[in-house]
Amino acid sequence: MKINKLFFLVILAGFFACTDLKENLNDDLNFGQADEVLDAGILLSGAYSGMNGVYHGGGGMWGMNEHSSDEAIAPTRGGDWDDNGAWRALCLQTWSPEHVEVNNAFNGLLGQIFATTQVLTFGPTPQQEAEAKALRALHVYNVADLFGQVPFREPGEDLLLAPRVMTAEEAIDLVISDAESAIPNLPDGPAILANKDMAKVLLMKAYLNKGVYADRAAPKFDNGDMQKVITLANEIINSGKYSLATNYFDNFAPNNNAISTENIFTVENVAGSRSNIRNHWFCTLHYNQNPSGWNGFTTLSDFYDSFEQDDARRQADYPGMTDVSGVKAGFGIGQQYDQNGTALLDRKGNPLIFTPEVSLIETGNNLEVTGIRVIKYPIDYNHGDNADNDLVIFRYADVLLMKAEALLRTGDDAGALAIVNEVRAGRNATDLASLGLNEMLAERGREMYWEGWRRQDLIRFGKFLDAWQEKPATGAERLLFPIPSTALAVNPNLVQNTGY
Amino acid sequence: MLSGDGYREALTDYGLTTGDFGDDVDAMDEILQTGITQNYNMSISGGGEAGTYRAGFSYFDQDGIIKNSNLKRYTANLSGSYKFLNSKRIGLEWNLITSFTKEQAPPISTNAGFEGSLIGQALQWNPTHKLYEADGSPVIIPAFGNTSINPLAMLDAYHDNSSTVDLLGSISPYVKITDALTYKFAYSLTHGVGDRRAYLNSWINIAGITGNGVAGINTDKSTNQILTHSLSYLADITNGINLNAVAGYEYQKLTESGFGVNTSGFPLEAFDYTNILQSGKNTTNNSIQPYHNPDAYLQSFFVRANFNIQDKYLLTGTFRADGSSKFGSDNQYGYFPAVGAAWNIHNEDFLSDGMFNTLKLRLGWGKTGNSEFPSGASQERYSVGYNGTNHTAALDNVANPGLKWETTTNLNAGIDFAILDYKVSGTLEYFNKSTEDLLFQNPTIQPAPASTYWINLPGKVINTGVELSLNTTLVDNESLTWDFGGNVTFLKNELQDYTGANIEYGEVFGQGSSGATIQKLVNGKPLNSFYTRHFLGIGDDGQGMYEGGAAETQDFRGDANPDMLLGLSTGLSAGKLGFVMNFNGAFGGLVYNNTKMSVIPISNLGTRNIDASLVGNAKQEASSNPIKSSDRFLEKGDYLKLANATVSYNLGKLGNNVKNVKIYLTGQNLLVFTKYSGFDPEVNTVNVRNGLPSTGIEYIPYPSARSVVAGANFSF
Repeated sequence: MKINKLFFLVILAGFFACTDLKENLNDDLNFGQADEVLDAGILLSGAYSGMNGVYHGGGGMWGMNEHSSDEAIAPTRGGDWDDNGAWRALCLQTWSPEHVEVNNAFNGLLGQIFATTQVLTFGPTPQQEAEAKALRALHVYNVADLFGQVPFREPGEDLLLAPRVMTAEEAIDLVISDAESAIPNLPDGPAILANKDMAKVLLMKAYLNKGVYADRAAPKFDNGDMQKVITLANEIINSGKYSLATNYFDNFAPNNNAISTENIFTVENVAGSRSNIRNHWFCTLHYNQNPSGWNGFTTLSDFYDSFEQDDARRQADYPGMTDVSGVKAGFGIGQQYDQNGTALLDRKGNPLIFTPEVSLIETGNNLEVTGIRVIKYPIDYNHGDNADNDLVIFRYADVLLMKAEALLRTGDDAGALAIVNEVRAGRNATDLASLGLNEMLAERGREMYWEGWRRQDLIRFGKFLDAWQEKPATGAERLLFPIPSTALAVNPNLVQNTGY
Repeated sequence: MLSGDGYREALTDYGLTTGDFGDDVDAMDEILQTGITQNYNMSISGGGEAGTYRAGFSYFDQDGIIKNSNLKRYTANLSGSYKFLNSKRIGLEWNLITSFTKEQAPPISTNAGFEGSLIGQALQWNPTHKLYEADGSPVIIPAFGNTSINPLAMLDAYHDNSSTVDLLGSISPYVKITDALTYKFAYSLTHGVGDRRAYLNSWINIAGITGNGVAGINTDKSTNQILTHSLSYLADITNGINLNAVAGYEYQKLTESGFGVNTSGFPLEAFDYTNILQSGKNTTNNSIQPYHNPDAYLQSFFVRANFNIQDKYLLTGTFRADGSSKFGSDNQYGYFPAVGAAWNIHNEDFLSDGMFNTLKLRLGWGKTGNSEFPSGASQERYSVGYNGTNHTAALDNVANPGLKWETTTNLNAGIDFAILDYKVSGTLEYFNKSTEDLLFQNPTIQPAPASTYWINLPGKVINTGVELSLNTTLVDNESLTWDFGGNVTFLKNELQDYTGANIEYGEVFGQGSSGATIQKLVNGKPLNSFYTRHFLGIGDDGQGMYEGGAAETQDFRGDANPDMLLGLSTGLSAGKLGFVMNFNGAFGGLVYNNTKMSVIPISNLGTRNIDASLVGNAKQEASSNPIKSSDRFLEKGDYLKLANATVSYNLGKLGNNVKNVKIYLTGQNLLVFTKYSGFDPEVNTVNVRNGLPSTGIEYIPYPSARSVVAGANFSF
């Protein structure tokens, strides 16, 4: 074998490789590519669908707003639902800065603030900018409401540096200015988009609660703020676009985007592709109901007892649900049946009878069946785990009740009573003879239950720290959630809320 | 686990009138099998002065100890070497290995929730309830609860088959430029393609699956190319001083991509659903998941020199510059020097009396780098998608362009000795490893597009230890040799100078413990420290009592790291008969028994099975006592295992053609001495929470098998 040595070496040299170690991302775009090919619209769509995981019920923000209140409880049922004491801590208001749901909500909402801010760096049209800012204002509002502080980045800020932190009052000022400046460029609808009326309802919430953000323990309600609430409400009412639904549960139905006459802003769930709404029924249905649920959350009997017997919001058959599975809309109490009227049994073979009595820690033999269940969203049997019901954030009845409350707080008791009775009449409840703050809060509870507003309402009415069924009185520090300890550790501009 | 009779007794103790179905079954036993493993190897080799070759073929067929688990591997390899020119100064080595692997897997997952995986289903099965119907088919919906799954039905309903083709080719020519100087080139290509098809029949009683079935196909492809140039020099420089030096360059490229598709809602049972994916009706569970990871490039320049001075003084120095595309553009290169020195004292004149066969002092210091983490973390990554109505895009990560190499500084000092004609030898070694800039997922600074991002850990992980080993020949004569050896290592681990966030991780799984974690990363503690409640016992009301009362105070409760590792081995040979035995053990680490806590708790009583230790105690635990993570389930993970033992007999020559005949019997994992109550103290169910993988948590793992292998070797 005669091979020229030199020839051999030349061949080898051809294999010599030297690389500049440049990394191709392949299935993602890097910043330069993104800057070139992505427009603000596609990022805005991402920001809308990103809300899906943050705003839906079960845990997170919804859990913090509902389980901490007098209308929801998550009993530990033997082997089920202790979950490291997380639910109990919410119900008793004994959460810590390490609480898993507190962390989830903080990261989730601030992630949405980031996503909406980023739309602004990609050259948005005036409408896209307005939608992004209106969505961001909603997220900022919720962080301020829950945590009292809002870390905030301008578009394009370095993500490795700690951002500035706004106080709740600064944050509410930003919410108001962003929502106001967005309104002219926002679309008129539909409810799945950030629209003009959505921004107006957000402004109403901001003005109505402004006194709370100045002093949570003893809020004062400024007359000018209340007048703004009334003016905004009148704009929405006078637009004639909305009316109280003839069937209360239509607002939450699988096709609520088509049939609700009340919904002003919703988080869109798309049957078959993106949806988290099933949590709202899985968390409460018993294993032996259809669909087989997780047998968890219930309401409290004191709250249930605040309804009149014929109140349409209390319990109703709902077409497409009760005839399919026997499950009724509203509250599930007493013996449960299937669609044929056959009485259901629990897992031990006893009759499935939901009891009004419920304890935070269940120890009895009936621990599987205690507590009144809550079906606010009629179940979508056509789409299984990816149901079509859009999640309601703002709706017309809330606008009416906020207007009534603003009238009440500015001395127009008669005007307030008329509106409350208008809502009650729409729900087949008898007229109230008079209206004070306690009745106002109670009516908000009956109308808005399990929609994620109860904690805020209780704070505004000065009742959040009170003792109620299964919960002792709590200290003033509980008016705010703690800043998660991991967030504190990475952002020195955050200061832990007093008392934690 | 309780037997049927034990379960009936427990029901009586608790005054329960439901839950007894009259039978006595052992579901765990029913899903286990005696696995048979077959392994055949054959090789031929040949060649002459100019070149050699070797060809080998092997077949491996292993049944797992769980039914429906099987692995078959077919391997062929071909390798050879050639020398060119009369001077033989140019040569070539090459190697080619191909293998085909088929695997059938049972339904076992490490993060199962409410329904559990096969092992959990078997543990939970009510032992008084029949597993089979009268016709011999498995019961599908048991009378003790329609959400409980019969593990035997699950075995029938679950089909999971994967196949993998791996190819490895390498070629390395070399040129001896002078007697002392050699240039060598090496190129290797590894390419693997995997395909997994899995489906679950529609008749199984799992919510969402019943009436639908579910099926998916996944493929994965990876290619790894490595190219090396090296120049080595080996010569006596002057009398008694020998130099061995190498300089080189290495380049590596790794690419990974794949595709997955899943759907549900199948029309007919007659098919393997993965053959009719197009007929899946449920758009709700369709998913298409392709991936193509960022390519990873690595290139290195290195030099190494060894000096040997009169076999008394040995000096080594190396220096590497390693570059990786995974790091930020300013930090792609890491520089890793190492030096070592050894003194062969036994070669000194003053020890020439021969008492020591070996007496060697060693000292080493060096840095090594690590870049094992996912590529694509140092630059922004925007992904695109579709949300059902619109196309979407979003930034997915917090890019960290400052990411740099993780570096471990290793300091070690040791002494080796051998005396009595090498009949007694041993080593004593101290080591101190300090890992800085550990690649680590940290909480992001919100507002941010993700909850964690990759950073270099602000702190260092210190591992220190002392290792002692001793080997002796106890008997050595013509008819018998007997060796005995042992080694023991003492270890300590601590996180120091850590200035980052305290991170909770180590998720526990199962019903009633959503979101619960039991480990915490903080400065001044070992990694894998448990942070949980302290269980005080069962109270008069049957409920668990915890330190801190209702507050249920969480605190540090020890760690999962062993303080001591032990290895023992002994070998005996008498004529043609040989016997070898190896033990290993670990002591001082804790294991969290998540299986006991979540799968077989007291609340199962009346429907499903429970852990046998829960009954017959002085205080009766209430069946309503919640499932709660605490040190109640933290157990000592100390163990000593007979890892393997082999008896062999050398028959020598059989007839004229068959040579080197040897028959043997090997047992693996034959004996375990431990007080740990779970499956196996060595088993670890890794899960990642808040970016940190857990260590020391056991949750319904695939049980480790005890195996016995009989074999024969021979050649022609």
